[in-house]
Amino acid sequence: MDSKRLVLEHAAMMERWSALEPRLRSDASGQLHWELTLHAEGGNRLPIKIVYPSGYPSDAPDIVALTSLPSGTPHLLPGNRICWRHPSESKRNRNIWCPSKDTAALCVGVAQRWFYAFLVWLSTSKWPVPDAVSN
Amino acid sequence: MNRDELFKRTRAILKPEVAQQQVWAIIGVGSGGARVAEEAARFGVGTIILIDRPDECLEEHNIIRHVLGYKDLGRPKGEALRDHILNSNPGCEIEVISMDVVKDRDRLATIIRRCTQVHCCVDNEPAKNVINEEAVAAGVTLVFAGVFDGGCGGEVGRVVDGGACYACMAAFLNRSGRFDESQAPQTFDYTNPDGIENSTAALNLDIAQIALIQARVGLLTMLGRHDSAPDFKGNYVLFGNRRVEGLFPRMLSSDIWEIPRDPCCLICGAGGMTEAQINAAAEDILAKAVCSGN
Repeated sequence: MDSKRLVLEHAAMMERWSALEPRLRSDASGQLHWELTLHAEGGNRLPIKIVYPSGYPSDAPDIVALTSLPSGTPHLLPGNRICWRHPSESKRNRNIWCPSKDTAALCVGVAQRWFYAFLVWLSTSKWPVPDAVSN
Repeated sequence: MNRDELFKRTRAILKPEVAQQQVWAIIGVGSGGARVAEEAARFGVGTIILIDRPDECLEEHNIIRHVLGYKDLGRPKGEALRDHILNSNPGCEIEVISMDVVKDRDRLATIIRRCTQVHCCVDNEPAKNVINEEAVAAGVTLVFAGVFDGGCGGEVGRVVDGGACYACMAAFLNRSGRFDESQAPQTFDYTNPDGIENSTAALNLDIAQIALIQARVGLLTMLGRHDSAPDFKGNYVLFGNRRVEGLFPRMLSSDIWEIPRDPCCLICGAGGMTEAQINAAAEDILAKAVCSGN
């Protein structure tokens, strides 16, 4: 990720989600990710990280749950990654990741929506929305 | 080969000396890209760089829509296309590069910096975005094209230094509501991820029509460097091969739009900061990230 993008990503995240105290971290290989905790009613919490892939921003970030989730959880990919877009989606359309507009800040909203759906699923065994993301 | 004789009939329109100085990268040498490359050679473009994915060979189902034929079945498309092009312009210098542009960004950037034009002829968004980013960074003109579902029509866009980039245009087209929702490509059905994608292939002539417009935009761009008159006003061409309710009022209808640059575009926008300010801010962010991270 180039410097300009990094600055804009940071600004977007802080502008929208500073209340969640997102922290930008770097692993040993220099790969950057955000860590923060989502909150829902009843004191439920879901710590997540939003990982910038090497192909960013052409490739969308990964959203990873940092806690163990029950087996059989819908819309969950290997590696505890939250499913928020079709992995092979490559055609231009209204919902596709848009590198000129979207930042990792978008993923926080997506993850929050996923978290609410997950809590409903825990109670009812039914995923309440037809997909994992909606723009 | 007698160069004067070869260009005898076109010299009055396009001086071969002008085209000879050009270096065009054609990224993606499928049905569309192959035609753009073929036309470029017929313009007399001096150097053509053909880029395709590794192991991208001509298969039988490609032939009905490609400039290559049965004698090249099983060959890497780039290599076979080089031979095909040299048959009509042996003086053209052709480089064939096999690479994944999404995975090998640094190499792509190096190639693009050598070019006077880049033609994006790939059909997937991640690759288009990568090519756009590198062309914008290098300040090299990018011409892209796409054929709409079923070959009903297509689009050709031109990204020039300081103008709207592909990402600006894609965002404008997808999210402005300019297209009728019913005409927009359908999203995947998330409830049925294994389902069949609802798209229809295009015919050869449908693809060729759009590819020739792409080549024409490349030609106009090349000539624009030597002619102060505007080549065409706008940066985006819509062309209808067939009539489509709400999009193309009749067959062979066309429209040219000037899609504005988005000053807030995360790819080509300035972001309201100087380079020094950006670098200082980035250093500060990274320092804090490392300190708090490990």
